[in-house]
Amino acid sequence: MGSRIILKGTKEGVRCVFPEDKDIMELERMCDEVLKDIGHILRDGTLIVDLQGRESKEEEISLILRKLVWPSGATKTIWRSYDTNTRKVLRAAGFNIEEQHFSAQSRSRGLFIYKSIRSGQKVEHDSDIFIVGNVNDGSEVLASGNIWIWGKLQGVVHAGCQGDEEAHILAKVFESNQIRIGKLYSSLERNNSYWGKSVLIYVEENMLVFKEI
Amino acid sequence: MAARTIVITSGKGGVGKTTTTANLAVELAKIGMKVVAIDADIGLRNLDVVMGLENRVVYTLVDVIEGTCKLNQALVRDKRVENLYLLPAAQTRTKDAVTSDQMRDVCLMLRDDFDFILIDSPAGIESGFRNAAIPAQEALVVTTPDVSSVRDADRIIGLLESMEKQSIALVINRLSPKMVKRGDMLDISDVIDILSVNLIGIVPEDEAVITSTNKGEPLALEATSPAAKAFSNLARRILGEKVPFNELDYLNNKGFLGRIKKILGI
Repeated sequence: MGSRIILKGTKEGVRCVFPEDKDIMELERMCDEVLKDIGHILRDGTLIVDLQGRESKEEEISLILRKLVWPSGATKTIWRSYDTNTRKVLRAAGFNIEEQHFSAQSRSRGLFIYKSIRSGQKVEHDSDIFIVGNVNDGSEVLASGNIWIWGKLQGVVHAGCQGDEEAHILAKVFESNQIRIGKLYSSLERNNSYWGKSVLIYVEENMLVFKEI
Repeated sequence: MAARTIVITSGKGGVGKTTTTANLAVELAKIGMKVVAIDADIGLRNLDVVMGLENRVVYTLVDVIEGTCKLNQALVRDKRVENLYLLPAAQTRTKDAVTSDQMRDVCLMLRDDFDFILIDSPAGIESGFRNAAIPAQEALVVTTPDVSSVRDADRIIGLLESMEKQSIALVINRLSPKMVKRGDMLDISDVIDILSVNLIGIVPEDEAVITSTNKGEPLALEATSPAAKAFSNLARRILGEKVPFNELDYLNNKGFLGRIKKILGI
């Protein structure tokens, strides 16, 4: 109760960060509050709808359009999400999704996640991903850049998922059966020699290399 | 005062949701609570059998929802334990016979007359589970200490968290001390580390569970076997009592126990 959309002013526009754990039924109230508080700032400006890891289906996107985007009077709206299914919905609708294109010179900021990723959850980001928590068996983490996990790695991670084989993976406790970097993947026997250890994984001469650290 | 509504769920099938629901219901009723256990596994009902009440099922949850009968006509009163009732599922229908709103309405009807509403969830993560979980404020997740079960439990906890349950607690069922000793069963502290929720119950593997299910006499009716004692502890913890995790003390092996307790982190 009483949770709000967090507002951040940036040079691109006003970013509205939606809490991940609130039900769709709370959203209408939260959108009304935003319009009440800063409607005058949004008018004729740029609105960034940041859904974080929310799994937003068509109904929710539609509600946000009706209750926030259109009434706000913003002339441009950019959408942001790191949930794969939400991005599919947004892309299919032709929405303007905030995406940083991977390039060696200008890397976008990494995604910081301060909780564990549970089985069935999927995280996708264009750049690096830093997780303070565990990546549980049955979850997936995909980054165009590097992936660093300060916790147990048990799920599937894919670094350099857009083809970059310079990307690497760092895990505090390695307990995963499958690792992917770029186009390469390695499936390991459970209880392999790196099991339970801290490892750095990278590509050398077209092969995945594991290094205990 | 309104009832506490708890869903007992797991993701994986066959880990002990129904056994836990039945025995917890009996234990809470023995303590003096007024309890109704609802079988939400429409089409594959089992709670009535485990509680030994199947021969008295006339109307079911679906009949109540469809208005075929009044709620109190469907409630089966357990004659062995004061204040214990069962609301059975329909065996001849399927899970799409009810919606989550309808489940919510049934629970609302029961709230003022009971101290506890226990909802036995079906396996899975689809509408059957959702219908069982939506009306509840609290959840008990049952798992066995193996990789498959824990992965499914993790999935279900993720879903329960996004439903914003007031509390989610873990019951580790069918723990075999012999297998833990051999290293053949998942390290319990690993289970707790992965699932990251409060541990509220440990139930040791106990043959008596199978016999009691076949007889339709929940273990909790006579509290002597190790599993029965575990359910009693579980009920007391749910009521807020701080009960030490002494479920494995029956092994009477201090050295081994010490090691188990260390593994369990208790």
